[in-house]
Amino acid sequence: MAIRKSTLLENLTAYGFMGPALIVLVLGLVYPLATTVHMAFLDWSMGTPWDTKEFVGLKWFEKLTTDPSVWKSFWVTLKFGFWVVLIEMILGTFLALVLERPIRGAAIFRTAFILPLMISPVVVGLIWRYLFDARAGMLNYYLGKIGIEPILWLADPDIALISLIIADIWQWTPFIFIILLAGLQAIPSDVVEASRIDGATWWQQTIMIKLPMIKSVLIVALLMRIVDVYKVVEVVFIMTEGGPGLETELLALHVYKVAFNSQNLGYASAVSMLLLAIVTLLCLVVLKFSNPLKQKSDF
Amino acid sequence: MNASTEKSNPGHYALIVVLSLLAIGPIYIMIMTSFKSQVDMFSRVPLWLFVPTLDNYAVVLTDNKFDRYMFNSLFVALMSTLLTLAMAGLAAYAIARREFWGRGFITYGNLMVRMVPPAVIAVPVFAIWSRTGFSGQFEELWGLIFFYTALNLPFAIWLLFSFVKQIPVDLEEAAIVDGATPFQVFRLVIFPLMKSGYAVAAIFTFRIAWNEFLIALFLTGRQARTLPVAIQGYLTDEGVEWGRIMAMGSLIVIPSLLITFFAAKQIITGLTAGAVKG
Amino acid sequence: MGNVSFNDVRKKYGDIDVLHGIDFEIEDGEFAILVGPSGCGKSTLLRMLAGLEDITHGTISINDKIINDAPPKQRDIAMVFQSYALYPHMTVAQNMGFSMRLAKASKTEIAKRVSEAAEIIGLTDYLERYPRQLSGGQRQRVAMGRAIVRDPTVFLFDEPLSNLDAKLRVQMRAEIKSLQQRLGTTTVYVTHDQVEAMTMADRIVVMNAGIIEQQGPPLELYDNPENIFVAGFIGSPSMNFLPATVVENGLLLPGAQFLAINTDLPLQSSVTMGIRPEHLILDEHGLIAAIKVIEPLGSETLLVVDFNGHAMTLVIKGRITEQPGDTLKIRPLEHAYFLFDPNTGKRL
Repeated sequence: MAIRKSTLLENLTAYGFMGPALIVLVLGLVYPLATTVHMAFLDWSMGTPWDTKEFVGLKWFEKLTTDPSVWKSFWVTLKFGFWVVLIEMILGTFLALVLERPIRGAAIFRTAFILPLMISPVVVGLIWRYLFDARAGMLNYYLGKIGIEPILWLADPDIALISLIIADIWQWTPFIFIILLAGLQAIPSDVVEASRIDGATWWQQTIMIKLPMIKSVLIVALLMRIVDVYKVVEVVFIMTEGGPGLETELLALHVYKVAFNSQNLGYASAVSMLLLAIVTLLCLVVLKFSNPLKQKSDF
Repeated sequence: MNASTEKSNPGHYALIVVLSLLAIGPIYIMIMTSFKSQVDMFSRVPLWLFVPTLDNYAVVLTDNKFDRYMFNSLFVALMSTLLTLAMAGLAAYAIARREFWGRGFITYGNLMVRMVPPAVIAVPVFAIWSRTGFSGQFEELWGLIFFYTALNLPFAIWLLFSFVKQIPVDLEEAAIVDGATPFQVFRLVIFPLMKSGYAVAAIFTFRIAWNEFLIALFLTGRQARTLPVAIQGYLTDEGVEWGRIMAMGSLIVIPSLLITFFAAKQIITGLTAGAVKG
Repeated sequence: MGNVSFNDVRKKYGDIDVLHGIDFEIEDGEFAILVGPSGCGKSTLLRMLAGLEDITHGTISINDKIINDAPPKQRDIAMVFQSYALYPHMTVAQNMGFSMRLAKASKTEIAKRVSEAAEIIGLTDYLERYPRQLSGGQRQRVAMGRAIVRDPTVFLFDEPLSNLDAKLRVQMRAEIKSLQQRLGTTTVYVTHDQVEAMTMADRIVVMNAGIIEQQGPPLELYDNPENIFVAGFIGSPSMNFLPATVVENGLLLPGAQFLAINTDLPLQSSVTMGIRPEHLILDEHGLIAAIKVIEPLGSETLLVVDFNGHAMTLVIKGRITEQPGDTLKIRPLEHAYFLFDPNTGKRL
């Protein structure tokens, strides 16, 4: 809560405190963002001096709308995002509900469970590439033991995305779990007890009392996942590099490829703007339903 | 559920054991593989029991470029963490406590900026960078530090903001009555009480800087390369030498593992801060 | 209808015994209040009756049926929590109708019962509000309304007035009491405030450290406390206690002051004498004490005096002209004192 009304001195002091951070943010984030917007209208190749750029108007945006690889990447990314967020939210919430009560060993379990979250995405990609490897990987070996033919986890066009989804679920479900668990544990126990006395079964308590009460936590977790899902690039880079073909070509990866393979930085900027537009749109849609910032405390 | 609040369920135990194994399993497999000899690698049957060897580590560590990558990553991660924390703490305090023009905008702006995927700024960062003409290990590393700091500030500010809010306003008011300037208030009252917040912010900031890939890929040449980029480079060589790669991977995750073991509680605090009220 | 009985009820948390064998009966329609200091086990006992805690040993019966293993749902009880425990995401009407909704009652039936209960608690105009829009007192009423809709065999109250300000508390006390009389439902009420107990109960059960010290109608406990604990707990300001020795025709009090009383106790035995502040009067021939603090309340005056090293409280009608530091002569009213065994605390 602020303590005083603002005066000139107040403003100066405040900006003094925020100054360094603001400068870095403006130079390091806002300026690049603005540059992206600018560059999306330019024809500039990697490796050429800045002066050789040409203004080309909406050329790249037109190309965006017809470029099949961009569309493919777009759909792959949407599909990926949808499944990943859906499964992780359901799984994470379910686990949090089931494991809500503190039990012995909970601390050790929690430490173990957040490990996937904390290790480098590059390493996550490495590990799962190894596990999914068609010849040397463990999964196929054990599947073989129960009579299933080796699956080309990373090379089969129909399966590659699923493998990616599995890796992401492994990494991020603990995130949802931890947040939801904290949310559930913040619910005053007597409200739940009151519902028991009113006659609610465990299922009714969960659906009618607990989940509605942690609605803002669910929304925040959902938002955070949506935002993070579109950042995914390391794991896919390591596991499949977008292949086979474009089956796992996530948009963030596609930006990189356009920039480095075609050297066309203008076009790459246009594609990255598409990415940004998607994330922003999705967040706005979720916020339309419920704004956790505006929400007064749930209880 | 029953009236009992104390009894634990064997089903619960089974579940958490399974989940723990699932979580740790793959990581364990990586570490285990890093100790396997080339011969064992080619065995069709996954070996759980084998004679461990340090060969892979020997090769990886004696590669003198690896030292450099390790140094680069550490330097960049530590410096950007320090800078981020220093700036974020001050900014968080201002946003939490001080009334100023544009406050609402900045708060929302901060959140909005978090939405931006690094991929979106990787291209312009590259463009900006090449226009500056900087090159060389030193410049590139500091370039990385600068951009990582920018990338981390939004989250760090938001996190520290939630910690600052928990400090009672009375303390500050008492200090002001005693004659402290705003900066003294920060240094003598707020900062000491925020230590745990800084610890949490440090963990997350370090993690992002340590693991960041795309911008490092765009920005660094061979001299300034960081570990994540280096590992990826080894992969695209012909034939994946799993033993070696797993050794590298194991080395990269050491800080993460250590941090997780020792600071699990802080990590959880950080994850839930702001998401859960109260 | 609903009588409640507790038979040798015990409770253990791990290795710690919290309740050591509770026995008592509440009759149908009675308003019973469990009162005692923090930690005495009263809330635990209530929660065991509600089905929110396990019963380690002994039985609890409602309507002569043992309900030890029945979940709360089946016990036909309704509870009002200290923090009200309203469902924050439901309106007042939905809060009150929740249990019926779970029981799959028809919408019209639910609406009818809810509006009836709303009338009783005076919140008919607030049915569509949310708990966060209500004041503390209103929320408390919603909690009660929720219980009323249930039309249970037993009402349970767990310190429902603790979170209200003093004035509201007094008002709600009267309302709860009259509500209970009107509905005639057996009620078990827990509080740490003995004033609430005295003003509302048909029967008070005084608890301390996991046992029942005494139970009975309020005035019974006031007039005939069975031990020091009850004597000191009931009544406000609380009873004064002085160490004394039995001598010929009376007691020898601190400072070698003599008080004439009739007693059959053996000479030279040590006793603790208890005397209520309101039972001390000013008397020229009384015992000497020094005034420490004077608290004029208007129609009465509260005095804290020093009686030979022992602080005593008096409540006397009217006002006095003396000042702190002056001496006063006081004595107990005839037969208004109690003698207790200093070791066991029991009344002699």
